[in-house]
Amino acid sequence: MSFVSDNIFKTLPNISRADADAAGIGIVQVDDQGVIKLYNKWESEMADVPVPSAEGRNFFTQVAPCTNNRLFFGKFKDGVGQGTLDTEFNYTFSYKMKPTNVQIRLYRHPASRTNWVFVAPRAA
Amino acid sequence: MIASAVKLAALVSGPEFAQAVLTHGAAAGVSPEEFPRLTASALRRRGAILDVCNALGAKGDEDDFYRTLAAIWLELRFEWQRHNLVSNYGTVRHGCAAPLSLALAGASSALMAQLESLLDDTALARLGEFAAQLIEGTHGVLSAEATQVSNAAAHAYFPAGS
Amino acid sequence: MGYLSSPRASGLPLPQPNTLAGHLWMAGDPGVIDEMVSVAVASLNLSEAEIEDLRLYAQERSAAIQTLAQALGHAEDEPELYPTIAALWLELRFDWQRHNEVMNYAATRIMPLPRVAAHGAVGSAILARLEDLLLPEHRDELAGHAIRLLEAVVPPQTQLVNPS
Repeated sequence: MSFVSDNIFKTLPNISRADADAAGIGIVQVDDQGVIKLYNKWESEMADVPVPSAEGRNFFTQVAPCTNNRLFFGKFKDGVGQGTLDTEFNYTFSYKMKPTNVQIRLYRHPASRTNWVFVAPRAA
Repeated sequence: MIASAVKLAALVSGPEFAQAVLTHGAAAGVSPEEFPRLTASALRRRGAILDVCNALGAKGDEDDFYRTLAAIWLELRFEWQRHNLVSNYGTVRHGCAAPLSLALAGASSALMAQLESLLDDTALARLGEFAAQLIEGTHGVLSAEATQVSNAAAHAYFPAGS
Repeated sequence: MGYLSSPRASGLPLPQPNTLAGHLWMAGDPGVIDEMVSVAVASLNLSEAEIEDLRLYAQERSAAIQTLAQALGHAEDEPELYPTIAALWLELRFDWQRHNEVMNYAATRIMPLPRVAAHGAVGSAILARLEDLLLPEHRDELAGHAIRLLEAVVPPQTQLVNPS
């Protein structure tokens, strides 16, 4: 069972900022190149990156450089390239923060062709 | 000693860096047996930065000192990237990352943060972009094809059994 | 699973020989690297503590190289492994360069630092083992680009003011 609830999926792609901020997990919308369109409050607090400093910048190469590899960004690029992306995996963030174990879900909403990165804490 | 050298020496000698190393080590689950090696590694890194402050920190060395700081930041950035990659390949492939690898990622990241307070944002952005592009393999001519040629070249220098 | 201890003892599979990861594993051979330490120690006047620190530095480098080879040891990892080796090469090159600068600046102030010279010597010998895994034109381009990037780094005017 995914850590991303059906309630959140139902609100895509037009989830309001208020709903995203209230979700209790990290929600990041990115374009096909990885530029952030929406960066929610949970993600901002976990990463210690203010929302205005994140939106408009590339999630994988600038805001979360620890995701800039084949395991994460590579999966995203492959999925966008194939037009289908829905994968979940474990990961560890360590850039300017103490090592933090997380669960990740990368998802491309088929109807709107929007891309989403969901993040939630994970026990070690 | 020039002001920036004094400031850097104070930063790395202060309690924040040592505390960050211990915090990252504990958070990563470093074993009691590995903790001395983690702290020795961190202390060596700190010593290297203090050597730079002492050797290149005299009046008149400002430009060289600043560039050396930038070079150290880039070196740490590559180091952090490597630990991050190893940790996450461990997580994805084996379900967990080596605690010491995670702790070293945190430690190098903490030291980078201290150096960043002395470097300007434009330089950092360009250096960071270079480091990121290199790992992506998008920098210059690095490509998958190059791997095959490299493999053959390496075989010539490391014949089986050497 | 100790990162700074032997990757061979980690329980993870070793890279296949005659692969890029296999060659990288050999480049980090701890026995060969330890021999480099012995050569450096024989030619420099170091204290027991400095020799021990040098051995730990060399062991860390060996473990770093072999851990990377183990972590990205699958055939499908090679497109990511090659640029990572390039990045490691640059990392070690910066390390060597820093030792070189400290040694030479210290020498102008009559502050001989044999321990720094020893680290530089061992570091450059390890660097040479990695160089064999990279195409010369890649090394030249990467090093050249890094040098140009750093040469363009100039301290902001305010940082030049010395309050004392």
